[in-house]
Amino acid sequence: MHSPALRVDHLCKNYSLSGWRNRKKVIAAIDDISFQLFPGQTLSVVGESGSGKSSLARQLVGIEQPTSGKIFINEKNLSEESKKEQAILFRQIRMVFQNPFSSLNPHSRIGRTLEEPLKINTSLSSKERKDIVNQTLQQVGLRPEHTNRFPHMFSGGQQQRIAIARALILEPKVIVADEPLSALDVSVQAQILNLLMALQENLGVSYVFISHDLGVVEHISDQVLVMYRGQVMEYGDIEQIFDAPKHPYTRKLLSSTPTYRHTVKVSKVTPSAEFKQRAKSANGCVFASRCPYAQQKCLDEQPEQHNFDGQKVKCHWPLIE
Amino acid sequence: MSLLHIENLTIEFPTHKGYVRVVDKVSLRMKSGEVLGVVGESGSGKSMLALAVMGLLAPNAKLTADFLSLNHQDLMKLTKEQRRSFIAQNASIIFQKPENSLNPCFSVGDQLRESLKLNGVQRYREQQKKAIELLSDVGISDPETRLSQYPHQLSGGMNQRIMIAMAIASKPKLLIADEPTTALDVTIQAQIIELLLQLNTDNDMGLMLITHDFALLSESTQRVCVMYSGQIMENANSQNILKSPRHPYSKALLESIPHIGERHHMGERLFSLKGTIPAIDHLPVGCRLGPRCPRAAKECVKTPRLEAVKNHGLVRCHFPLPEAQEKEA
Amino acid sequence: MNEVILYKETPIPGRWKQFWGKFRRNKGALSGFIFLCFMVLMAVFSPLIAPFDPAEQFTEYLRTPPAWYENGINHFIFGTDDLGRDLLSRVIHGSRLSLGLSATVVIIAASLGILLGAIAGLLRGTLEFIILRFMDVILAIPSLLLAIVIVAIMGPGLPNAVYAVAIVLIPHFVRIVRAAIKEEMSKDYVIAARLDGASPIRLFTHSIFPNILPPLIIQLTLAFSTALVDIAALGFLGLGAQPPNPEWGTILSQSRDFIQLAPWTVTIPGLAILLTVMSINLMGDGLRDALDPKDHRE
Repeated sequence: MHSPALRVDHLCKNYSLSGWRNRKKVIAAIDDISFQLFPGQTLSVVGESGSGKSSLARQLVGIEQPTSGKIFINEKNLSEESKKEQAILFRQIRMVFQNPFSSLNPHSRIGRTLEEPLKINTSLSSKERKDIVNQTLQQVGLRPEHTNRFPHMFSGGQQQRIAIARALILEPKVIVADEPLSALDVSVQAQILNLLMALQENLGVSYVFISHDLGVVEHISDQVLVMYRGQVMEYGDIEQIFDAPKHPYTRKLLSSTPTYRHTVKVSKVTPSAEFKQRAKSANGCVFASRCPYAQQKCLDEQPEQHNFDGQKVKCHWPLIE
Repeated sequence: MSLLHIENLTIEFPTHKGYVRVVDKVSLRMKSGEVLGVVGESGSGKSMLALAVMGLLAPNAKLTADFLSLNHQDLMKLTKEQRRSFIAQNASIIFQKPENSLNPCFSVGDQLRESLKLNGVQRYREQQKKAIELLSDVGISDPETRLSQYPHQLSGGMNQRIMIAMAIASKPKLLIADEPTTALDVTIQAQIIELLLQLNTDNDMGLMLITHDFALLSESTQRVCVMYSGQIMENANSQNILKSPRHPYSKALLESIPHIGERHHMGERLFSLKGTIPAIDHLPVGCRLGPRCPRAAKECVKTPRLEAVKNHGLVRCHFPLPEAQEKEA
Repeated sequence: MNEVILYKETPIPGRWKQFWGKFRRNKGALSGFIFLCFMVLMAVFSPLIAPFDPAEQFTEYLRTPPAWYENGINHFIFGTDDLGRDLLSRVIHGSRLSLGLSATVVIIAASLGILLGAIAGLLRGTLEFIILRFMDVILAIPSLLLAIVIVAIMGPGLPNAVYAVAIVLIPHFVRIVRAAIKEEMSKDYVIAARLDGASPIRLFTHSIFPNILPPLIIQLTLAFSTALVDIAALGFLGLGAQPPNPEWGTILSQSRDFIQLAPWTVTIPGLAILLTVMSINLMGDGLRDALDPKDHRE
């Protein structure tokens, strides 16, 4: 077995609230996340808005500094390396943003935008850089003569191709894609999804794929990480999560998606208003206030992570059939 | 008799290059109590169609139609004032982003009472009672406290429920929901759709569900109307379209979304259309899907007509797809 | 691939073409632009265009009315002033002073303002706070009053007037640049450039600066018209350009005593100021519309 391209150990990120009254309060956007991602594989992160999935992406690519925890890229601990080494490691993990248009500099021809990372990070000659740019453009299905155009001259789908080309240009091991499809029209989404899969097969790159669309997630993932309020509710292989979800939250997500409505059973009971009120102040499971199976224990104790053949479930009462 | 009857509705907007057609000769009929799905991507004119029915188009838009009637009343024969009050009584609309449609300066109760007042409930006591009733109708728990809260204090799903409560205050015969769940989380999405369908059956209220997401329509609608670049491409029974789409565009929309259990294997690709949606002022000659269609042939430079296909519905294509064989289970 | 190409790709106009297309459709802005071009040409070639030297006195033609008056003569189209100097020549030569000085003022104010604004926007914390509060102090005093105070301290004269008006104009640039940088910094493409490994200076010059140009260009036109008016005002009050310099404001103040006898000596330089400022403002308005990124109608 290869060593993982990306390994995350107990990653946490706290944001402190602004304002003098809340100065001492912190919010855990990411709370104790661990996973590993092997070369050529895809890990999807799913969850509702506010689950911390975008925040996770920001820690991984280095936009923000995690509060605690370790990120290993090619088994090298990011936080223990020197600044210079860190910069080299971050070349291995690149990001594709949700909105392709806003992620491209509107006043810069795309040839220049694509050359920029090479200019900063390598000592290649201008000719060599141009060759790499042209080659990468062809990889994402665009033509070399497109380098002279500005971003606004492209359609949304083409812009996302350019954004992918920029992520690819330093030949990274891992690409973090934060909802790369949701700003695109339905008929264009499939093109981009196909492109991402073709690139993975040809280049062996790994994806951390952040999405709310479970259909897409099932289609492309090898592993799935289900997040709720910054915590991992369930983590496992695609078969485990979609065929035998064991966390009530995973079931709830699946049953809410029209296409999966009939594949999973989940109780429709919601906790009573009084129970919800108590759950707010309690220190137990974060999902207790919405969980159909919640009991007193869920309010009192943080659930531990149960392990079923590698499928990790953070729940007091995992659903086993 | 039909609740909504549109014949050859065309909407044009002036630009410096002349008028641009955003909706091109759309004809539709809805029976009372029917659920109609309108599917399309951005620029397909689906929202413009909704605004036109509601009489909410921008004043510079030019609307022409052979016939436009709502609840048996020919709208084209009414004066502006009459039309406005007639539409207000008979139809309501909810939009994608509830936080944009609610006024942040007034409490939920103020806004609900206001819309009740417009519907002839004058006394404060009655308004308050009605408002509480409406909120519990749309599934909001603890309606009394919600009434005194402001939109920013509530979640997106809650705000959308309040929008729905305001929309049904007038007991409309037709509710148009323009992408009602796009801005919401999946778990909330399901609840809102469920609520809309329940209101439809309980009150015999026609529901026009506008969306870009075919999956959303699969269980909820009786008929689906697929729009592309301002034209109706296919209009048929929803089960027929889902099982066997006859227009290449409908097929592309359906198949570009991965289905249950469809896991990716090496070398496998999703079906997708090449290229991108044409700009509305740079439409291709002939069939508007032409440049992107995998089946396009020479004849496609002539504009196809919306024609009936046997055992199916209306399809706008020179070469409709054959009926799909039942897949083996 | 041997497909028959049935459909051509539709060309999308470039950035400049789009901008010019939008600008051209705004008739007011276009006429303002043309008038301004005319004024600038006049300023540049004033010695060639002006019929006489601005200081030359025709003693037998004191206070001759313009040519279209009953007793005017074609020799002096705009008439002469109380010292017998040709008004047309003075206005033409004055344009050189007025426009040139305003341009100098704007260049000084803009470069200092952009520098301070960039510092405030990129380096947060104490320095930003100090810069902003200092700018607030300048903004709290009416601009012309502040300019008068500064000239009063430094002594009247052209260079001091230029510095005074420039100082007054700096805060607007600082604020605009800082706000625009703050806005751009949170955008995805700047984050993406940061992830590419760009240093803060490279980030500013390559990613941010080209994108804050539109608000900056608009501010430049606004500052230009303000500078023109303020310099004329200082000249009028005797604090700016000194006679016999044919600066427009100075011409006005010299002719003020003869407003009853020779109204044209006041009207014509006044009109020159009015029309120039108006054309700059019209053009600025058109620029604002044409550069607005939110407006996507070509």
